[in-house]
Amino acid sequence: MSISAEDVKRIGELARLHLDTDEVEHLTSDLNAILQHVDSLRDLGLTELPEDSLQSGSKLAPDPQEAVEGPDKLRETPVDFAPEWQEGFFIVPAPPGVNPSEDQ
Amino acid sequence: MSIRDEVLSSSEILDVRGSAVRSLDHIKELEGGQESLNAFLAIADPEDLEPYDRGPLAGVMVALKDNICTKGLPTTCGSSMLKGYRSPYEATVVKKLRRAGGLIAGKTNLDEFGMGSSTENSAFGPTLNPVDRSLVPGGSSGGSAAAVAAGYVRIALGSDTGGSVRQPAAFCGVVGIKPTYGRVSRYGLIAFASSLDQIGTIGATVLEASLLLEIVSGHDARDSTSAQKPVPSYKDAVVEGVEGMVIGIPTEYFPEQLDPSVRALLDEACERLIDAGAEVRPVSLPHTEFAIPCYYVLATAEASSNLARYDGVRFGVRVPAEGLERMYEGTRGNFGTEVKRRIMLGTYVLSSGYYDAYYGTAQRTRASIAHDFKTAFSEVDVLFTPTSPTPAFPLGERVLDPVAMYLSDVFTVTANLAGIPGLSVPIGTVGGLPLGAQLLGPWWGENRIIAAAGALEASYQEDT
Repeated sequence: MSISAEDVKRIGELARLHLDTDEVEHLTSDLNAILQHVDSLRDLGLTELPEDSLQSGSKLAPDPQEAVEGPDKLRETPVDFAPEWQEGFFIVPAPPGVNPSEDQ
Repeated sequence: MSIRDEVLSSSEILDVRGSAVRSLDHIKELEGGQESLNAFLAIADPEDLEPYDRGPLAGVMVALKDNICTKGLPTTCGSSMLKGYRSPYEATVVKKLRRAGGLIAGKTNLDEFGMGSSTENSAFGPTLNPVDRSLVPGGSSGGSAAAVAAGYVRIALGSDTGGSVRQPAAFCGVVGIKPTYGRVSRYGLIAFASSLDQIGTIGATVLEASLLLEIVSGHDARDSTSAQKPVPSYKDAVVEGVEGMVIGIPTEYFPEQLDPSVRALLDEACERLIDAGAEVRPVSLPHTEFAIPCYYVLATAEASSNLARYDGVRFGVRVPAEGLERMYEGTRGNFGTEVKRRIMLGTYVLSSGYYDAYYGTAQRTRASIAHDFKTAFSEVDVLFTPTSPTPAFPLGERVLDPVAMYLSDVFTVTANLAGIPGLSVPIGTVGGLPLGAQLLGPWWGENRIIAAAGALEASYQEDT
């Protein structure tokens, strides 16, 4: 796959990077060179994970198609999930074993 | 370096303090002069040295890569974006160092946000290699490796996302260890690619790098990816030897194009391991050739997400502008060329329509690379490879060619993709320049690679 200067400008907008004309030109050339190298991955034709990959020590993200959408906590009333506030911020309970005062 | 168990007496404390102050003055003099290596971005003031009277590092100077949050000193990540930034909290590894009696000498230079293999991508200028000042020290932990190689400190911390501890250690002729993912807390390490980042240690010797690793390792409730695994004595592992150890030589790490002088040094190191009692046999890691493209998809994807927080709202500099979008864009103009390039690549591979073609494929490749290692470690105890295809290269040689720069990491990125530990140990010189051999171990097998490195180091020391 190759990308055009227009693609680069659009990606720049998504990444909130202002790119001048020179930068667009250089990035178009650089990204195409990198993507040409990256395209070798597709030659592998991997469509599935190795059977025991999750026991290998490498933590892999779940396949996005398998992700299950849960209830959106932000649609609940904040007092239901974050009853305490301080200076306009939710107070999030410290994880087990963490004493926040040690960070002071 | 002192290794102590006892509490120091008052006179010893004064001696150690005097020595520490002299060390800092010496570093300041050298780094402030015309012969500066630009290894340090900040050096501690003697008045800021904390009281210490016990611990295995009592009074020992430690340098920290400047992406590790430290109270009392700026934490810049080598970026204009965080110029002068002071963290309100301290990384877990820094707390552990202080508890062990260590003294923070200063913060070392790095490629911006850890993105690079030469330390040329720092917003504060490149670090020079102390072995030959016309060469790069490697990267991205080039400042830490140079500080140890120059003798400013005996030990330093770096971070390793794709080889950033091991490759500069090899280029500067010192020892670098990247532990298993989860062995060392990342709390307070500023993120580049969270599933690949790991804090590592650099030392003048295998013992020093290993002792430092022992001190900073262990579970931390503040890092949900840190493992609840017991930490063995890495100090003891240094002298365990390799009698009966089976060492695998992955054929894919010794391509035909490998420089004959590099290959000759590696062959010699292998012979030394055999002489020390190890058995050597070939193994195959068939997905190795896909490691670099896989790494640069996943690392940039994670970087584009992690670096989205630098928008002028909460962290670092803000460039005032009319309207929020313009303020974001103006502020993010402070990123350097390589960081922008990686954010762009990461944003592209995560974008709609390309996600599975790039990111999904790279994740499956990553799992296959990890699977290769799992298979190999069912047959051998450790793997022996070059750390880098070449010794240190000249400043400026690869800075305009990103693909050539990325290929510097061809032998190191696999350990990060699989999450296994790796270590670089010096094995001599090519044309007067240090070369490193890499030892890779199974998950949580740091003691094995330390034992092999200790045996190699001892073998070379017998020559002198």
